Amino acid sequence: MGGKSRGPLTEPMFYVLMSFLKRDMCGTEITEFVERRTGGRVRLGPGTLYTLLGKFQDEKLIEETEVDGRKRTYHLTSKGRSVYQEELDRLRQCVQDADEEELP
Amino acid sequence: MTVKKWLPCSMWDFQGLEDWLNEQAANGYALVDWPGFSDIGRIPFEKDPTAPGARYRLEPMDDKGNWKERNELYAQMGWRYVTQIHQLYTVYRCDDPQAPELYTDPESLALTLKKLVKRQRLALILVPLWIAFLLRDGIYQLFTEPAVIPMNIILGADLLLPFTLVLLALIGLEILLPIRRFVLFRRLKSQLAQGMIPKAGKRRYQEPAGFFLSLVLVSFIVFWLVQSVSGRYDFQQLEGPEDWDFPHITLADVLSPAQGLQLEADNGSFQHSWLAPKQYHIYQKGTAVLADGTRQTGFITLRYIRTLSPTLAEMVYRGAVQERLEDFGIYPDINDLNVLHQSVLIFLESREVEHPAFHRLTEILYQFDDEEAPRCVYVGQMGNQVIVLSTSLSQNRQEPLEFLAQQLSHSVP
Repeated sequence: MGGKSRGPLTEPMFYVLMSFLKRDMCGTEITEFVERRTGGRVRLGPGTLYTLLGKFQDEKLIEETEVDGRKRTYHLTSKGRSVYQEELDRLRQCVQDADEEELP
Repeated sequence: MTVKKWLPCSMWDFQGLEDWLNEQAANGYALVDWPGFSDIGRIPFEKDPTAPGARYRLEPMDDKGNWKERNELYAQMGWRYVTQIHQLYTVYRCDDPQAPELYTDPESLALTLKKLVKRQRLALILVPLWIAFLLRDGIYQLFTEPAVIPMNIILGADLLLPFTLVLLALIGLEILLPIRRFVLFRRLKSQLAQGMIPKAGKRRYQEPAGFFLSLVLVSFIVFWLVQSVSGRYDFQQLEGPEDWDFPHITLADVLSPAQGLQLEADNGSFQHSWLAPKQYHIYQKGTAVLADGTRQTGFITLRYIRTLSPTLAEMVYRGAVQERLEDFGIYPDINDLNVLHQSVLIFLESREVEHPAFHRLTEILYQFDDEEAPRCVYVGQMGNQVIVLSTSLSQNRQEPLEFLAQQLSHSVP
């Protein structure tokens, strides 16, 4: 699968994929979602966002569903959902490993 | 009012360029535009009271053509498109201090740079191919007549030697610059992918320096072309007897007076270069009455070359042998060029022969199918002197050579 061949997702990649879980999103909505979800810890610059959207489209993790003037809306594909899930499992495993190693 | 400033950074110094634009902005100068490749490294700015509060950022250009869409998205987030730099970067400006950075993580910037690195890799392949195409004749000669190239450089050294050096310098620049650019872009991408923000390079004003270097090289090539077509370095005709003060042979020398000789062509010319200060060329064609009363048309050609040293003479000798072999039909298609003679030229043999007067001597025999006797070309070297002798009239083909050898041995090397 794409997620394993590419290695771990970066934090911005992970949150951009997360933003599509419940509904289709456009660029500004993704930026707002990530900022809200992370409490402002992760802020997506336009260059970062546009580069990731382009990369995800190339890898068929997302697809464009609607173009309304300047507004372009994207949809998470099943491959994108799978890559997100793999990363989530990896992160959960990391947390579990850390918990088990935690000193009493 | 536009103010032009010298560009101090290299084009591949991503961080250095960005820092420089921001420094100019802090001093109240806003970038107007980025000049094309024809510019000399002077970048136009204009006074802008709002510039000190602005941020400038560069974005590596990928090969996608949807810049309009990207610029619109950036504009929504406070980043305005300014210009692009040589298809390498796009320049954006932001006047809103609250707007997020263009790239909030170096990893995404590295992804954008990936395609730029691919383009540079393609340039690494295409540039040598392009150069090979432009120099295809020279490359062909390098394989078929490698000894002829140094000979021609020695004989035309005044122009060919500097021209060859300039040409090699240009080729070196054309090949080394894409390699350097590729390596540095790849290093930058690698640093960004690891989350490291690259440091700005030293400011060495390489762009203006590169322009002036190119200007000097191109000016020289133009000078060379003008000199070549002006005829200054063409052969000069030999006029009076004082011009014939060099070892030579004529048709009259190899024929007894009783045979009579009517010359149809009688040319002597002279050329010089730094490395071969004396270069003579004689061509005579005439009709003689032979001992049995028959008339025969024949010719004699002689090239006499004196170089600065025996080593240079040996290089000329080897080039002359190779050039003659190429000319005289060791390749079958040479007969296609022999239209005027309307007969077939047959290459017989080429061999190095021993001769007491010469350090090296090569005898090349060939024959036209409508002639009874073979013709001969001698290419010889004696010290720093080289001769190329070709004749068809003498019954004894060694006779002109011996005559010439005597003169050579008396000449001062």
